Amino acid sequence: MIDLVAMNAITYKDELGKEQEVTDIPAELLESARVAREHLLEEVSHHDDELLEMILEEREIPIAKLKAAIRKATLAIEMTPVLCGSSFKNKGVQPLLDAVVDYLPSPLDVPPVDGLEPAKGSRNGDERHALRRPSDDDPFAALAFKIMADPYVGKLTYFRVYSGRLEAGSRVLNVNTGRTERIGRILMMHANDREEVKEIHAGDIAAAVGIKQVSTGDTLAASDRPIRLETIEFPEPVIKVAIEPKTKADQEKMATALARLAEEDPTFQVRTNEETGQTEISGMGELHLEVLVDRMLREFRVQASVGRPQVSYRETVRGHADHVEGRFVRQTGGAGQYGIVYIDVEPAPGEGFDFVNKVKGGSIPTEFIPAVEKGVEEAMENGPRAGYPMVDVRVTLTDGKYHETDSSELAFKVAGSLALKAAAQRAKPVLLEPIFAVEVVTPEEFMGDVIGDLNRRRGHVSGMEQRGNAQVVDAHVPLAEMFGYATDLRSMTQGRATYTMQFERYDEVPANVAERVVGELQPA
Amino acid sequence: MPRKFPLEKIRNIGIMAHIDAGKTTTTERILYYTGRTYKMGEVHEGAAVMDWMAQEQERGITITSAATTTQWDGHRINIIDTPGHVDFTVEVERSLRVLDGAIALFDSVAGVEPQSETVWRQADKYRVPRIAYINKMDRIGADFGMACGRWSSGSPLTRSRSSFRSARSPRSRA
Repeated sequence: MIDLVAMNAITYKDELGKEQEVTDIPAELLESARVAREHLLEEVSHHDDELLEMILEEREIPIAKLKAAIRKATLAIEMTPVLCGSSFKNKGVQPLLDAVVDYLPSPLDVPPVDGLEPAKGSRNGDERHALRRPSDDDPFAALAFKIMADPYVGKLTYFRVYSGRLEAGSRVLNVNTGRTERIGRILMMHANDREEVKEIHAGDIAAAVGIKQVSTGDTLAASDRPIRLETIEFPEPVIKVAIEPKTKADQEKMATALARLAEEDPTFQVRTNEETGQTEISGMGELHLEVLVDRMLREFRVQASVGRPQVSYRETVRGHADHVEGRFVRQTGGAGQYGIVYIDVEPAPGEGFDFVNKVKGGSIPTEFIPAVEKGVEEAMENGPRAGYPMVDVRVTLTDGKYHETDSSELAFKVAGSLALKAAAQRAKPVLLEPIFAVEVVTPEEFMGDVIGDLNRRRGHVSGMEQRGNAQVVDAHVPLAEMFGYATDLRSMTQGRATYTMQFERYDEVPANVAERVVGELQPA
Repeated sequence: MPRKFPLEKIRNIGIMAHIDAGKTTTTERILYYTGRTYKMGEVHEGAAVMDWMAQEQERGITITSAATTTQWDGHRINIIDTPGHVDFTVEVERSLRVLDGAIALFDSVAGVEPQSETVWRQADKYRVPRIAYINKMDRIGADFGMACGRWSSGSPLTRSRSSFRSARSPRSRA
């Protein structure tokens, strides 16, 4: 192995790779090493003027200077040093560790973390940007990035300390819940083993025992100096499966188990299907759900039977619907209900749900506007085509009517729901399905079969290329057609092809397929 | 209690890559060489220290990101080993959020796989500086040039320039 920075060779003396010998580069490799180093210097000098000057003047470049230049460019993400080795054969791991120390940032090298803190003297929730420097003297701020249920100590909260210090037994504020929590114990984690420490400092990663209410992405901060750091965004689950406890005794345990697992994993969701009354769990893929069900069985001893995996469809609108009325009026003696709203609905690709209020002249009093929005949002949970959640819709509230005494939040909420239901029907609702990018690596002789099969699965082959002695096929395929693909591919290619797939985007379901999906949902 | 390591001697890093590139194997080696473990755990024997969950050992894959701490050359290195399977991408996402740097692993035989690109983009999103490690250089068909070449042309990875730090020729095999 040749180190191009120091220009020497590393030879491993034993199988375990513990003993290394550093020598001169063997003569037969010297030429190619020179060429490669030349290339290295050229690349690095793009990012460092001082180095460029030294090269142009053909001066000897000190190793420390070269390392510093590489480090600078790496930290700025202008360059990525490349190393090589074979971990399994115990070669090249120590140079990798050296490179971590030489080129990767310490907490001081990354920008101070940015967050929002309540503005001074403000009571109405105004916030302003603030920074926390990686220093023990700054107020304590940390981000909880992982929650884990532990059979012995209860809930473990993994967190990264950005600033300040924290002692075991002290209290911190969970800025997202507003609750003060007591940190029982602080643990340095080593996979599943742990080492208890009394105190941790800025820059550390550790786990805490004793925090009662916390979810992934919450900020923990000093109570007197709260700050809210940017939370973590998670992708939406794409696949769901119905799950049913085997016995009555399992029923209650299952609810607890699912709640615990969902707490650990933000991409795992549990909900009850209102039509069938079944519990549905959704996640990122078949393997994901399989592992979760397996964990439920082993860690929580819950026996459950699992249905066929189903795709999580979405719905959206393709057209506009203007000035659609939502009317909720009940005025038959006593306290009545009165709320009338008018909304426009239009597609808003990539925006999820957008609510715009354009009511002028107080035709709806301001205090009822949030209620309208809430009603609209609730109605979006069940789309007009097949009851799947609606996404990428902009709703504009344009006008409405109210009554002095009979109008209430409830009345406007219901009116909002009714308006959206009516409008969505009119605005060309369509069904969306998750499309996956699939890469199949197959021996040449099976390529025709593989491609033919992908086409049958409504897939679009987007590229093919040779890799070694195998062919690589890239395609986009709807998730609905990919169930059981592992088995089919194996039997088609005598087990010699492999594939990987990952979520790409949501796309419209073709009309004939949509009919079938909608049809399957209707009770026979 | 004063801090044992000054801030400039701390590295919070993640190990990320596509499935089966050798993330966990590399982490196990790091733990061994830094004296954290006395025996190397082998993933395919279900004995990896970092894959402690029963499901992980049976399947030979990483499911949940595991954190560990070790020391090298007077520095404290906190390492998070992340899963490579796309179903557990959330683990990668949340790890990158709290890390300062990362090692991106590539398989010298398979080259840059779709998932390598995904994790690379995730790292770009959080602006995490990284070093690349081309693994499995002992395998037949290992092609350092290809792994780098595919990387610097026609993929979203182009934005970062690659540079050779150490190239290992087949002839120099010990």
